[in-house]
Order: sequence, then structure tokens, then C-alpha cells
Amino acid sequence: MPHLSRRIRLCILGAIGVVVLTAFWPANFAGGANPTGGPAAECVLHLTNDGFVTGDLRDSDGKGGLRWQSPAFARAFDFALSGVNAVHFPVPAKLPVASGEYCFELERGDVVFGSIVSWNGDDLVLDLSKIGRVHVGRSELLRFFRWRESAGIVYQGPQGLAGWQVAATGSPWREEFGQLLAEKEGVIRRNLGIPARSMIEIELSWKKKPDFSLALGVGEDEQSPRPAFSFEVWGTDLAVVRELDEVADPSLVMPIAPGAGRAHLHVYLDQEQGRCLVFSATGKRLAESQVSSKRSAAAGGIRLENKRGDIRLERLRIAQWGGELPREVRADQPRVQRPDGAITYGQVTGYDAAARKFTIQGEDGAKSQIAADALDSAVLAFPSESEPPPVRASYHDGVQVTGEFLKVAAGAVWLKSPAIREPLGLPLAGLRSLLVLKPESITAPDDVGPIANLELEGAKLRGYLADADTTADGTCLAWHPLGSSTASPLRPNASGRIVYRDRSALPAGRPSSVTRVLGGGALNILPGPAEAIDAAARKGMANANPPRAAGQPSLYLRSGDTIPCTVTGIDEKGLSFKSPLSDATYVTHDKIKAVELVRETQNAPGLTRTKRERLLTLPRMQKDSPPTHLIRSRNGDYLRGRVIGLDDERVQVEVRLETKEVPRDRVSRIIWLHAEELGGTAAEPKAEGEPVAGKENDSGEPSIAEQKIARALDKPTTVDFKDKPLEDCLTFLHEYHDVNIVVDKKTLSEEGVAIEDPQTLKVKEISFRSVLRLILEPLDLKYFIENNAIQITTSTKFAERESQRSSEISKPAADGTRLRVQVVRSDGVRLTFTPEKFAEAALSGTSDVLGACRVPMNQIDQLLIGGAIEQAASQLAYQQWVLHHAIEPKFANGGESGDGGDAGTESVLVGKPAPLFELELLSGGKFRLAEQKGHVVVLDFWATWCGPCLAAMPQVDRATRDFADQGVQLIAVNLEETPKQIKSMLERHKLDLTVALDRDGAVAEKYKASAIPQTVVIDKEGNVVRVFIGGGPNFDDQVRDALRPLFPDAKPVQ
Amino acid sequence: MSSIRFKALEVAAVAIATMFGAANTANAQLTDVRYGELVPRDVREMYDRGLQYLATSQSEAGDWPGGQAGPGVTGLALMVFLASGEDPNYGLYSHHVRRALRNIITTQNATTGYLGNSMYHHGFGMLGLAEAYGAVDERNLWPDQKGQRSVGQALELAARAAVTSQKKNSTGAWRYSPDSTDADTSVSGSVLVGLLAARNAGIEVPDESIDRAIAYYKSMTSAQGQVAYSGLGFDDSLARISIGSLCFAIARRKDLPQYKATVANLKQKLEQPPNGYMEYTRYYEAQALFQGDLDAWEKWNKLLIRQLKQTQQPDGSFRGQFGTPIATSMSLLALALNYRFLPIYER
Repeated sequence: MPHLSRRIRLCILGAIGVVVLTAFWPANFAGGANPTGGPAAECVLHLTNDGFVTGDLRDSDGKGGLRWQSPAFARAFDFALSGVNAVHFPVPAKLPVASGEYCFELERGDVVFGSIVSWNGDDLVLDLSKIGRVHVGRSELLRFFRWRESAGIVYQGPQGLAGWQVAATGSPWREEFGQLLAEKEGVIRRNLGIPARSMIEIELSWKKKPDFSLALGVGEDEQSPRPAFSFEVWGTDLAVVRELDEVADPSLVMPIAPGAGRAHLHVYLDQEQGRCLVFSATGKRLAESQVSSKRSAAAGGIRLENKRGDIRLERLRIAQWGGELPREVRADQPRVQRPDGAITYGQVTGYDAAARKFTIQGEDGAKSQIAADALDSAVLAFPSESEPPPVRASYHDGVQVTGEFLKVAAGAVWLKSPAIREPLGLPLAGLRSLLVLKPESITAPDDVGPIANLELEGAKLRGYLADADTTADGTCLAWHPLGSSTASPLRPNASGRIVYRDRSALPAGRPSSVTRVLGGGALNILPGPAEAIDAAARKGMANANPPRAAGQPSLYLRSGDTIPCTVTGIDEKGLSFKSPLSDATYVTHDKIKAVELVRETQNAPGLTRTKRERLLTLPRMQKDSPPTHLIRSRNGDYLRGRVIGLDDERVQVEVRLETKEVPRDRVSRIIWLHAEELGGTAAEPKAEGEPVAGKENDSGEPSIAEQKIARALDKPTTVDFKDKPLEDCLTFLHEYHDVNIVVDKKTLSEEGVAIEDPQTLKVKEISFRSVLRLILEPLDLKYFIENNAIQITTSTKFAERESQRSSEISKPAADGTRLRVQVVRSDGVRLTFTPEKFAEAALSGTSDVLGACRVPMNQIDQLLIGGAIEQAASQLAYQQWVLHHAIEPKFANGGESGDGGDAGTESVLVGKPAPLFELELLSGGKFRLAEQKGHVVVLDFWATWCGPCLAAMPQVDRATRDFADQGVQLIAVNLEETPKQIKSMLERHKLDLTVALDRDGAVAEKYKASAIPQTVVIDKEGNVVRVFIGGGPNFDDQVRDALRPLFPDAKPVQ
Repeated sequence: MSSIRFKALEVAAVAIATMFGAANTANAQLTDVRYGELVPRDVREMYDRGLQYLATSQSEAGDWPGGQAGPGVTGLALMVFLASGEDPNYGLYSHHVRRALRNIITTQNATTGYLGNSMYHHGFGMLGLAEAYGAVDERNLWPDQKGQRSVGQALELAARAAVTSQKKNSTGAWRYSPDSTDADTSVSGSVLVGLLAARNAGIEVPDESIDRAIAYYKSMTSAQGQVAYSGLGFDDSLARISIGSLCFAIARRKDLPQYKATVANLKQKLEQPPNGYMEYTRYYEAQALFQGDLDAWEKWNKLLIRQLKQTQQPDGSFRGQFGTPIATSMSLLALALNYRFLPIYER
């Protein structure tokens, strides 16, 4: 492969412009040997077993291979060279350009830059940039040419998705070490400033099947219809095509074999001429496409669309192109070329540095001299088929050297090149990659523990745990990667997992045992086979729980622990249990997520999404005293309340402040709802330093009052301050949101901040948070939440407090010697503990809840490490049960005036075509929105249980009746109720309305009616013009105001 | 003349003491007058921490600076001590009780009887005096008794001031200034409850005065039990509904449909968080529910205990918009229904 790629350089040597460009393109970087390419920002070492690890090269004598220090590990690994595929270094933001008078191309694809010191027959001394003065074997020099640094590279990448346009949501494009890849349909595009005449090198690969379109020279966005050159997959061929309105010139580039593959193309693009030439990396001319167009102007963009296959953009280089095409030469003859393109066939045999003259021996054997300035390039010899040495060092500026690996020392990697007499100290700075040219596969030794994959951020290493105790600098998890001669302990701040068995590949019901240290002796416990996954818990869940331990009663902790146990009681502080896994018998409420008490009846119904949603919506009335538990009965009913006690006989539950008793055997499980998990309904970035503090509480968690403040900060606020002193403004805000605001007057007066200066601020419906900022910033004041109040102080004092806080926060992190692991057993049992020792194929440590633990490795599916425990826990089924606040009615936020309502123009639906639907009418027949073109339609979403709806509906009715003769139709869309319920309500309220039956809520969903009443006004063209949520006291006037502009000719209505 | 009158007051005091059995002395009430179970431990601990806070934050002058201050605030804090069950004369806090009483009396206008700088203060100050009257042994109240009003005298004077202010007001109720001609149900509540407490303590308060004030509240209460503020706009202010309800109850007008409407309204909203004036609302809601429906109060009380546990500061205080002394006193007085030592808590 490498020498093939050299051939292209050979055949285009005649054209100076091209020569320069190809010299920029060391043709054999990475090549097929390096599928992953260069990293974006970190050094990465890739192993031949698909493993990789970030870090940096350390000095070594070379005997043990490469010494590699990863930040995740306490000590360095020594990777045998044969097991290493490559080391990739970061790509700098600006690519360096090589310097030197000449570019020299040597055997084995080596490229160096520098000047000629002396040349006399076979004695050739070069002064190379980066390297210094070296003796080069005369027969090793294949070509050299005058180096021009001016030929500019426009772009070299990719370096991650940054800068690329992707779809705002759901884009399948992602990056891996800077390369861009997609496995689903999606487009990326970017303006890279492709010059009118450019040379573009592209490397693409695919794992399963290519089905993509790559367009060069596209406009700024999807809308601009610029004709571009596009590479497309047509059946079993890759084709290049340029389509204009009336003509297209498709041309086949290469056949595509089924399965994984790659394409490495050099594209010469002349946008002005409408011409595109495609060469293979090996120099073969593959295709040409030309369609001239009068209106051609260069466009600089690239667009890559993955269709139904998978695609990875590995490399993209764009450079200026002189526009000259490769010239035919007698490819097999030594020759020199002058700047004007004239060729003299013959051999260069010497150089007089003082006179700056080359000696040339012509074909006839006659010697002549040629001034250095008159020689542009020289071809001396042709590559031989020699075996390349093991290692190649490639630089970003194009320098490339192969050789035997000697050592790493003093910031340089030392190679012995067969072409050069001296050992070469190649500086690590500027290196793009170190490639091992003949890597071998890594085999596992026989006499080690179970082999697993360690996955960390920045590392994936196949290997095994080595026996270790906890040490001062690391944990007892010492990883011995295959391919390394050494093991190293993970650092205490590591996060990731060790995968022994992929669950999906495992048959269910493996018997298992855990051994626990108890007193001095060990005790074996046998939880039975795992049974069916809890189907009910999975319904509507993002993720299923793993099969549970033996279907027996289990305790689920918030950390993700799953512990088979017998629950013996619940009291105010926590839960008592007995577990064969544990000495401990008590766990406090704040650690618990759920318990399962008894098996459910076989056919206990699941929960529909809507019901679950309703169950987890906290009514506004309870927002300051949220329920703390969900109690599920054996037959699938749920009760929301507060479990205040549990014993053998009964569960005591407080429901709406009333204490009820439920026989214990009816309760199948209890789910804990923690107040601090309560999800809000608004989303706005929090102010710096606005963590809801509440340190004063013993629990360290925000109090209810502080949670209320946090919620209030998100609420829309309308103020109109005219020349009001700060204190008056704050008093107003205090009353507006009913939260306490405390001004640190002492500090303010100490620092001489005058708060009497009048403030003027008029804003509508911006968050309370922003209002605070707007009035505090001019005075250089800050706020934070503490002691159940918003505290206002000077920014100096605030900064002091922050630094104090952060030092407090960083303390536990400094005590990070406590790495935690979570064992995930094949039967679903999960245990979290601090590991202390790994020996005799078992991990032992101490659990906060369970005390001493010892788990044999053969029971472990996965070992979660550090922060990954919480990440994994959050994905477990029970952790998805989190209460969220009901949506606040908008008119309640409208402030003092009480005129209520919003302008009705905030919904995303406004201005868009109304979603079409068809619904049955209460009175019989159907209503089809599509048939209403030319009429104004008002949809009022409601339900009989919704008080505000019943208040709003008559108002909407009155307002629309005013326009009845103009052809306004009011459709009261009822949500999910029976005709009987609706009829009786209409009778009671004496309402005569056209009611449509949205039996499954599908139409409400289309109209995003997540809160009712919602009133939608649709104009004659079928577009949504208003969406009102929440009704309000003067709602009829708002509806009238919304309808009036739709009838410009109508008479004013009383 | 003054000595005769003084005699009469003493007689009245004795009469009260008999009328309520031993209700006005803390010790005796422990066994008799409790409802339900013993006071839960967490309530006692919370209350004790609060008491500690008030005890340590009282000024030498007997008031509580650090927020709004005045005879009303002093009166509320005084009630916290009286409601604690500690003996006001010999117990832990007897000095604090005396200091507070002296402070209230000292701030009283000797001529008009007006307490403090608004009728709110006047109402709560009067209530504090009324609750102390008869329970506190006055013999050693002043270092030098000469020329000082007794608690009974101060209370009578204050009641007269309230009645006078009401007479001048065509609405039959009160507002911030004693000379106001309009009224609101919030200020009026503090004055009316103070007057009723004074009357219950044996001070002469004309029936006409109570009747007019009750008529005012009737006119301000909707059929649904909402209680308007100053004009006739009905909303769902839990504080005002509670005030109205409490006024009817203490005036012994539980027969009124308006009273029943307020109780029904409150019972519907047991879990509803106060829509403003957190501690103030809790203070009144506790009493109104206690008077209105014991079962409902018991439920609501559980929630109250839970919420106060969350907000009590490590020093025992509670923070609030009118300052820590008021917030602490009102929060503790809402809890004090669990003790029921104050006469005003009588059902």
C-alpha cells in the first residue's frame, strides 16, 4: 500500500503545483492500519485489541515498549510495542507548515525537510529541521524538490462536531476522537471556504453499508440550491455527479463491495470550470465530471448526509490548487525539472554548497552543472519493495520518519532509520502519530483471573484485576491491561465500569452466591434463581429494572443497591430490615428509593402513561407538603401519601393528613418520593452561586421554604418601578412572590453602598431571577438563598462567601481516597461499597448500609466505579418515579391587576397550521377541522372536573356568540370523559355547546394542551392565531380581542 | 376613687379564676384540660428551643428588637411564655414575663390607653395583657409599685381605648390608626380578639361594642366563608378567613351561618399553603381550626409540626417577613394549641 501511494506522487511530479500539494499530503498517514485516526484534544494510545487509553508518553528505555501514564491510573503502564496499534497526538488549532529549502522523500515513505550541507557521490549530508545534521544513504533518497511554504492548506480535520451545522434535535451525528460518524439518517454541513480551485482529500469508512451523499461546494444552508459536486452511492458503485437544472454528468468512481469498507479520494475541483477530477489515494485516475454552467460561482461548503447506511468521516483536507493537471512523464527515468517545467533526464550526483550548484550526470554519462535556483525538483530513484521498520513517526507538518524504536527520553522519541546513519531524536512536540506498522494481536495469559473490559472516560482496556490492597496513591482496584507488563491502581476519582458479562448475552436464572465476612468466618448465602422481570414496573419506563433477586422482597436504595431482604418495620426515621447479605438492620429514609414486600398477583395491571403522569403530578395545593410515598397494592392500585409506620400487620399511611391503615399483606411495594427530587415545570439556567443552600438544616438539604424560593425565582414577574428605592422594590417583590428577602444592611453600609438611590425598571413577564439581577447589578449587589430567605449582599461579600463555600465543597473531594464500587450481580442484586482489598478472586470492602462485604468475582456481571454508580442508578426503573409540580395557571401569575391571561401568542403553535383532526360530536356526527376552511374555529379544551374550565367556557361561549353571524364556530373539546358525565354537567350549568369527544386525549396532545382550560383560535386559513391557557376573570374580552382582527369588515360589537 | 376601682378589679380577677376553674394557673391545668394525647416530644423540643431563643433575645427593656417591635410584638412573645406551661411566677421564665409586662405597660399612653404605634400593636398588646392578667402575681411586678399601673389597670385602659376608637368609626371596627374612619378585617381581628380576651378576663367591655364588631365581620363574610379585607372583594386569604372564624368563635357566635361557612371553608383547605403572610396565617389558622373542628385541627396540626420542623433555625427562631421576633412568636403560638394553656385557647 505505501508504495502504491507513492506512485501517484511520481506521476504528477511534472506539474509543480501538484507536486507541492502532494508533498503536503504525506500519502500514507494512518492508511488502513489506523482505523481510528487522530484524537481531537488528547493523546490516545490504541491497542490492537480495540482498547485505548488517553494519557501521555513517559520516558523509557524502550525495552518494555511504550511507557504510558493515564490520568485515571496511579502508575504508568508498559505496553509492549507489538500490541500497540498507534499513539495519536492532539491536532493543533493551526496547522504548522514545514520549513526548509527542500523537501526530501526517502525510501519507505519518509519525508523530511531541510537543506543540503554537502553532497559528493554517495556521501550526502543534510541539515534537517527538527532533527539536525545527518548522514543520509545516497541510495535512500528517492526525490527532492524545492519547498514552497506559501501553498496554503485551507482546512484539515475533522476535529469533532464543533463548527458543523447539525439538526437541532435528534441528530445522529456524533464524534469519536475528532472523527464524525452517523449510523442513522442525518445531515451535517459546514462552510469551510473551499477555494474555487481546490484539492480535497477525503477519507470515508463504513462498517456495515455505505449509503451517503457527500457534496462539495454547497451554499450556506439547505435552502440555497447551489449546484455542487456530489458523491453518491448508486447500488454497488460510488459515483460523482454534478447536477444542474437541465444536465447532469454522472461518472462512476469506484465499485463498492458489500460490508465494511473505505474510500480514500483525492479530488481536484475547479468550480469555475465546473470540473471535478477524482484520483485514488494510490494515484489512479478514477473519474472526471464536468458540466459547465454560466452562473457558476464558487461556494465553500461541504454537506455530508448519511442515509440508510453508516458513515464515518475520518479525514478531510482542503488546499489551494494551482489548477494545472498532472502532466505525463516518463515515469521510470531519473530526471530533474526546471521551474519552467522543462525536464532533463539524468542523475544528480553532487552539490557544491558554496557555488550553489548541482552536478548532473546525463543519460549519455556526461556531467553538467545546474544552478540551485534552476532546479525545481529531482527524481533520483524508485522505491524498492523493502520491509518497513516497525515504527513510523508522523508530524502535522508532513514530516514522516520510520525506524526501529529505541527509547523515549527528554521530550523526544528516538528512532533508528535505515536511511540515516545517526539515531534520530524526534521531538514529541508537533507529532501527529506514532504508528506501529506491524502490530500483532494481544493474547491473554492463562493463569490470571477473569478477563473483562474496563471502561472509563478516556480508556477502554481489556484486562483483569490484580490482587491489591488500598494504597496511599490509589485504590485496591489495580488493573492489569492485556498487552501491558504492569498493573496500576485506579485513582480514587475514577468513574466507569468493569464489564465481566454482558447481561444481554446471559441466560436468566443463573444460580449465584455471595460470601460475606461475618465475625471471623465466612458465610455463604444463596439467593435463588432470578425470575421474571417486573413487568408492571417496566410499563411506561425508560428503562427496565434488571431481573430481581429471586422475586423475593427487596430493598432498593437511591444509590442503585438492590438488596434481597425482609422488611421488619418502618418508622419516622427509616426502615428496619433483615438481609442475608448484611449485618446492618436499619437504613434511613433519605437513602431508600423503594421496597418490594410481597409478590404481586399474576395479572396486576400495569399503569398507562397518562395515569402514571397523573400519579406523579403534585397538586398545587400540596406543593408545600408533598406526599413522600407511593404505595402499590398487590392488585395494582396506587395510593399516594406518607408512610408513617409499618409492622407485621399493617402499613400506616397518612393520606391528605388523614391516617389510614392498610393490611400489610395487601401492599406489594412502596416507592419513596423525595422532596429534593421534585421536578419543576420551568427551566432557566440558575444564577451563579444560587445552589439552594440550606446548610443550616441538619440534613444539608434545602428546606421547603428554600425550595419554594427556588421555584419562585423561575416565576414570571411583571414590575413597573418608577424612582423607587431598592428597599421598596424588594418589598414589592417580597409580596409578589411571598418569599422572604433579607438585605445585609451591615455589609452594605460598611462598604458604603447607597441603596436609597431611586431605581426605575419596567419589565413584563420575565423571571423573578432576572428581575432581581436587573435591580441588583447596577448597585453591584448579589443574592443567594440561605436561612429560608433570599439574602442580598455586596458582590465582595458574595465572592467571599462563594470561596468559603467552594472550599467547603471541595473538602469531601479531597478525601477522595474513598472510591466506591457497585457490584451488579447476574441475579440483579446490586451492592455499593468501598472496596478495600482484592485477593483470591474476591473483592472485599465496607458498605455504608450493609457493613463488611466480600463478593467473589465469578458472581459479578459488572463492577460500576465512582460517579458511574449514580449515573447508572438514575437509569433504574424506580429512580424514574419522581414527582413534578403541577403547572401553575397563568392567570394566577398575572400579578395584582387580576385582568389575567396571557396575550395568547406565546405558544409554539401560534402562526402554524392548526393540526388537523376528526372527532365525534356529543350530539352525534363528526367534526372535521379540514372541512372548516373559510371559517374561524375556536377550540376550547375542557373537562367536567376542571373548575377553571367551567368558569372559562361560558365566557368563550359569550364571546364567540358575538361573532356568530360572521361564521365563528366554538367546539368544546372534552378530554377523556363519557357522554353521560358531560351531558349531566351541561344540564346542570345550562350550557348549550357543541362538544367534541377527545376520548383518548390524542387531539389535546396535538394541541399541546397539557393544562386546561386551553382555548385555541384558528383563522379562516386554518392557522392558529391564539392559544390561551388558563382562562381568567375577563377572559371573554380577551377572546373578543382575539377574534376581532379576523373580521376586519365586521361592525363593532357591543 | 381609684382605690375603690382597684378593689373591684381584684374581685373581678378572683371571679375569673373561679369561673375557669384553675384554668389561669398553669400547674393545675396540666391534668384536666388537655384534649387527646400528651404533647408529642418533637413539639416540646421545638417549643423549648423557641422559648430559649425568645428568652435570650429579649432586651433589658423587655421588648424584642430586630424586626418590627412594639407592644404588639412584646404581647405575642409574652404569650409564648404564658402558653409554655412554665409557671409564670416561679418558673424558668418568670423574669422574662415580668419584663415584657412592664414593657407593655410602660409604652401605654397613660391618658388614652393606646398601646404602641398602630392598632395592630394595641390589639396584640391588649391580648398579651389579658392573658397575663390573673395568671401573673403582680405584687413584685415593679421594683417600686408607686405610680405604676397594674396589669388590670392597663388592660382596662386599653380596652377603653379600643372601644373609644370603635365608637368613632362608622364601620364599627378598626384600622391602623385609632382615629381611622375605615376598617379592615385584619387590624380589627387583633383588636377584637384582644377585647374579647379582656372581657373574658373580667374587664368590662360593652356588649354593644362586641355586637358591632361581629356585625362588621358578618358583613365581610361571604356565603362560601371567604372574608374580605377592607372593601368587598372576596378572595381566598386563609389568614382572613381564620381571623373571621376565630372572632365569631371567641365571641361565642358559633351559631352564625357565617361562622359555619368559615369553618367549612377552612376544612376544605387543610393542605393549602398560606397564600402570603405565612406565620400570621398559621397563628390564626391554628386557633380557628381548633375552635372550629378538633379533628380538622389535629390533621392540620400534623402538617404544621412537619413544616415548622423544617423551618426552625438552629437557634430556635423562625424567620419571617416582619422580623424574627414576630415570626418566632406566631409560629410558636400556632404550635401552642398543642398545650392549650392560654385562656384564649379555651373552646
